[in-house]
Amino acid sequence: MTATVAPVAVPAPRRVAPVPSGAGRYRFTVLLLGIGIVLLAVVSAGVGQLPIPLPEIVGSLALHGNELLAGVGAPAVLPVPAVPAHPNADATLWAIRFPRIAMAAVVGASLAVGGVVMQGVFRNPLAEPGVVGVSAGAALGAGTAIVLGVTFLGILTAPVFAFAGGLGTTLLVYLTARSRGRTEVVTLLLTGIAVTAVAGAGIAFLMFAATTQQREQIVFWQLGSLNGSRWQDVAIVLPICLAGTVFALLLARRLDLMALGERQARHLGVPVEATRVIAIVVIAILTAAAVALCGIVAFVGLVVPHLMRMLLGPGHGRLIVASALGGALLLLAADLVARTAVPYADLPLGMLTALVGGPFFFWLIRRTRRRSGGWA
Amino acid sequence: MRGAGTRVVADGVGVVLEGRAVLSGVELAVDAGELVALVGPNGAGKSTLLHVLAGDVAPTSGSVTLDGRAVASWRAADLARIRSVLTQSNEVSFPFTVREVVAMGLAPWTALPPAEEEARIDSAVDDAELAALEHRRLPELSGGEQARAAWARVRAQGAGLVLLDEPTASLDIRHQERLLGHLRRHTEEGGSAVVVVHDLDLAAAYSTRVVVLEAGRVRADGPPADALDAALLSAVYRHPILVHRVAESGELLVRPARTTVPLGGPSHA
Repeated sequence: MTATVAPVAVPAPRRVAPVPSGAGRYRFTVLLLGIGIVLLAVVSAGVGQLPIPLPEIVGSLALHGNELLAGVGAPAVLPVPAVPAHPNADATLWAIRFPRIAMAAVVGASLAVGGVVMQGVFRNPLAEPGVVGVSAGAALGAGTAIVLGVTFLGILTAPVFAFAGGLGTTLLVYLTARSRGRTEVVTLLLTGIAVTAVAGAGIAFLMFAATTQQREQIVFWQLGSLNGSRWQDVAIVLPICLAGTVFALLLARRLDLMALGERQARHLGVPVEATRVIAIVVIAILTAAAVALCGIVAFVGLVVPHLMRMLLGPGHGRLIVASALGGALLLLAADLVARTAVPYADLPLGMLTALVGGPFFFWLIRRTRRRSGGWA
Repeated sequence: MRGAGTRVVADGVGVVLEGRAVLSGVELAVDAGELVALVGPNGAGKSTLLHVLAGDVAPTSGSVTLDGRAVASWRAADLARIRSVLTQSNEVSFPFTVREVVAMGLAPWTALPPAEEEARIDSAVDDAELAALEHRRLPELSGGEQARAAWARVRAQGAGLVLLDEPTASLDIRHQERLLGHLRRHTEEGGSAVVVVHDLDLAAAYSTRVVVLEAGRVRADGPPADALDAALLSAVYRHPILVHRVAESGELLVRPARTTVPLGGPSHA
């Protein structure tokens, strides 16, 4: 053995291509989703028991826009291509379809962003408010408000109760399904079953104790529907959705680092405990916003983030924005089907999303199991 | 890697986990310029000591200070600029690319100009020889390649004090030597490092100081030539261990005694 060893020739590392940041693909996706939302919103506004052609929809929008402009003293500059022909067309658009479309978009965005945050903080791509029982908990909260007849918070009563129920169940699932800083798939799903069962028992008891009218309201919660959405509902959910999404975006970088593990994230300067608390509150807020006014619409928070992750990678900043748009688009489409598939009937929206999301979830579970070689 | 060396002091540290004393009365001060190898058999408390130094585990008794301040009183963000940690397992829960993971090492540095960020990532990626893999997603890589990505992330963090828990466990020989060679340069430039290793020969070759742990207590602490004593090691590991000093270079070779004769003829040892 000699003291000096011949140096090993190291080939100079070559950088063949510039670093692809994926920024182009991200912008393209956001643009495409945005266009999709506008197109689908217009189609959705025109389709229904009373069909309204496109020029009349634009005309109605322009008329109301001009009124708004006149209200602030500006001249009416918007061109009006056509005036709604049917006497009820304008009212149908503004009292029924537009609020419902807005509601679909806002609720879809809330559910999808809630899913992203939940998956990030649970460090598990299968976590979703509907799957782990948070939606059921929120529905139990909302149901309790109905049956007890409490109204001390006005129209905010049901959302606040839903938030309390959602927060409680998120905490419960988070505290019980985790071990050593991560959530195993089996534990997560089994906890979801247990939580859903208990919340289901609570809802069953509420239905037993409720009056016929209250019972109908609870059934509506369990099925999930956007039927009868009003502007004041949108006014409640929109700020919550925006606030939740802004907080989610503020957490995005930390959620990226949490993917390395909680200890590793702390080593990189992330205040892990505070991040967890904020994330859980954000999840509960977003879930409650959606559940309180349109019931349990499961799997949106699972399907949308997953597709966006496949398309754009797992970075949470882009994922949150793209998922918000994707969730809005998905729920717009689902609601369009729900109210037009069967003439003179409004199918439950939650049924439709479960019909698509259930098999997707099944596929995801099988793929996850194959990849990680077990149930880890 | 840059940054002035941070002084970390463990004073009378004891840790009790589930009623069992994992560490007792550990005294350890690591100064700038030191590369300390923590060695010892399984369950000796090496990882726990590293966790305590990192601030992950609060000691049951005694104290740990970094630059004179109790480790628990540091803000996570401030701590991340002066010390980095490479943990044993580095599973990433979403399919980030190698380059994205390495870039996460820069998280504590929020005000870097983009050009310097890129330069630091490039240098860490190249040093771990990951340039060809930098756009691959982590789950597609082998265990050793993932370990190199984690090491490159810790390198990019650029902290003065580096704590590593068995960083060489899944690396091939070339990358084991490169990693420890890098740590050696880092400490020669004024940084400091504490590294848990099982390979006593690596500890002998690269560290400036070896701490031998047995059953939660420090059995030896000193320069490799003193701490790596054949009799002591054989007793601690309950296996005969040979320590050989090469006369002309002073190089220290440590290996376990083997009773079997290698295939292909008798041993030349």
